[in-house]
Amino acid sequence: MRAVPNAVEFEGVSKHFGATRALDAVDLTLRSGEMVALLGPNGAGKSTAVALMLGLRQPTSGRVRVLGGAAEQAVQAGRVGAMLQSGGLPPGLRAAELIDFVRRLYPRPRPLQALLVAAACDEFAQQLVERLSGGQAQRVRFALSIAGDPELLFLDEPTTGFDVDTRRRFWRTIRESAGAGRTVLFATHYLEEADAVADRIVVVQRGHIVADGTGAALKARAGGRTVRFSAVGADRAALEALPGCTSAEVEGERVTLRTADPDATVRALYAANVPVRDLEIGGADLEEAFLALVGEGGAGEAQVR
Amino acid sequence: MSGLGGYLWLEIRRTLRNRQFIIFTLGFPIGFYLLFTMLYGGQNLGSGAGALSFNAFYMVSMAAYGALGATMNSNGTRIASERAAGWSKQLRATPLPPLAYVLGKVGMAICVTVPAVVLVLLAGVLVHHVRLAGLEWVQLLLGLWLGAIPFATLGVLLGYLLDSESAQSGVMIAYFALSILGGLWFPYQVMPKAMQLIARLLPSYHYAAIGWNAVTGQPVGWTHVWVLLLYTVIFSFLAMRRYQRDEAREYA
Repeated sequence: MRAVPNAVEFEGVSKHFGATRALDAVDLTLRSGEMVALLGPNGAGKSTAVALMLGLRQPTSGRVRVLGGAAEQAVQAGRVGAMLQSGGLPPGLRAAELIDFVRRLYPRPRPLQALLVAAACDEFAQQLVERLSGGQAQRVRFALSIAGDPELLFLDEPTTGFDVDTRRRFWRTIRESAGAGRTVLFATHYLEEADAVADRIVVVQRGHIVADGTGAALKARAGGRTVRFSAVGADRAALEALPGCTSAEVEGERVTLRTADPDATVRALYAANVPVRDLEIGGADLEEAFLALVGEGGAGEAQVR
Repeated sequence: MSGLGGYLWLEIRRTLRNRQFIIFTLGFPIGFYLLFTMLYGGQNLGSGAGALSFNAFYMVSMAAYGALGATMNSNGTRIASERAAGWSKQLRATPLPPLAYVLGKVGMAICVTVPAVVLVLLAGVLVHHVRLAGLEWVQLLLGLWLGAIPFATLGVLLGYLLDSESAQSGVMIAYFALSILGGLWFPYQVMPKAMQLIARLLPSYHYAAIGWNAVTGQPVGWTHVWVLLLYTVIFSFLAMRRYQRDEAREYA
């Protein structure tokens, strides 16, 4: 017996929609207090995983445990908060009224005023929700998710529609909750965001977990950075043999190397007297790294645990 | 059920703030009442002992028409659009019990029936000096209020039956069909025989009939009550099935 149960446990969880396997035999444990990013392209199974964790859906097979019990129980007990994708707000209510209503459903709600400030809803609290901009509505949805100060918080693509400043404020608030021992799981398809915010990144692709680790570990695995240059008569095989290099693409004179260690690769490149022009190192090109990762996972179904 | 009270109050506020509801659902029945009593007022329907004044008769008809609008319009379209927009799903991620969503909607419809009914009755009393005995008022008010329950459940049923695209027109069709065929617009007494037969099959006719009985000093008429109960059971059963299907709805 552990003193603190895991926040979420998936044991061999599959969810099929007809012939589509949204999740396929997934094992996943979120420990209490963790800040985890669920990363994957659209349709990878992120939203399905969140729906199962909220008890909105039942798994086709396998076992889902949330805070030591059934997902529905945790939700009913007000221990879970969620910000879902496209959670359209009901018209005819002021933002503050709606937030206050949801807040009062929870056993230990945050104070209304503090909540409005934390979710950056204070400036338009008295506006009707149908008059809010997309970004403002998104902030209201965020306020609803943290209204009950939940132990476990699910955020499905939370920063869509946020400007830079709101995004920063948003993550600061999330960090504060996570710091207070809360568990946070957010689904995103931005690796950069996952890397900047999460302690741990779980990469899903076609219903499988294809990688699970820290941001740095994933970047290294995906072949971290890119080195681009122009060269006449570059030999692809020779380039791929360079230290650190994981793949090379040659298109006419234009060469793109993917490398885990750009310094070593570039040093070796010059040492080999390749006639290099216009060399640039893609500062962490995370998006590309991520694509390499999910592409690889999708093709080989490699399950790295 | 915890949270139901707060949810009910939230829904009532939303409805009373809706301009469409105020104009079409509360305003139109009063407007029709004043217009038609201006045209036909002072006349009697039928003759002899069963004769009744058009002013009192049409007051009941339009109050019933208003109540139908209040119960059906607000919920049918709203539930359909909230399902489409994902709000009902977002609520499922809060401690509000899933059934409270439906109960709150039904409760709201029953509450907003009160202004819809009372405003038309006030117009009857103040403009046309309709006078009834105390018990007749009780029968009229309770009949028009509690008799609206089947239409509140019908509104919920339509909200789950229709999608957000078709909800508005679907609810309108049901609303007008029940109002017109049930004899709320054109009196049952002047309908052709075949139409009267159709009217007697509809809950709207039996609903208004309790009120018509009240203003002519007749007893409630238990047949009407039983028919309304039967419709309540049927609509609730169907709504419950659609609700459960919606709860289990799969999405990719």
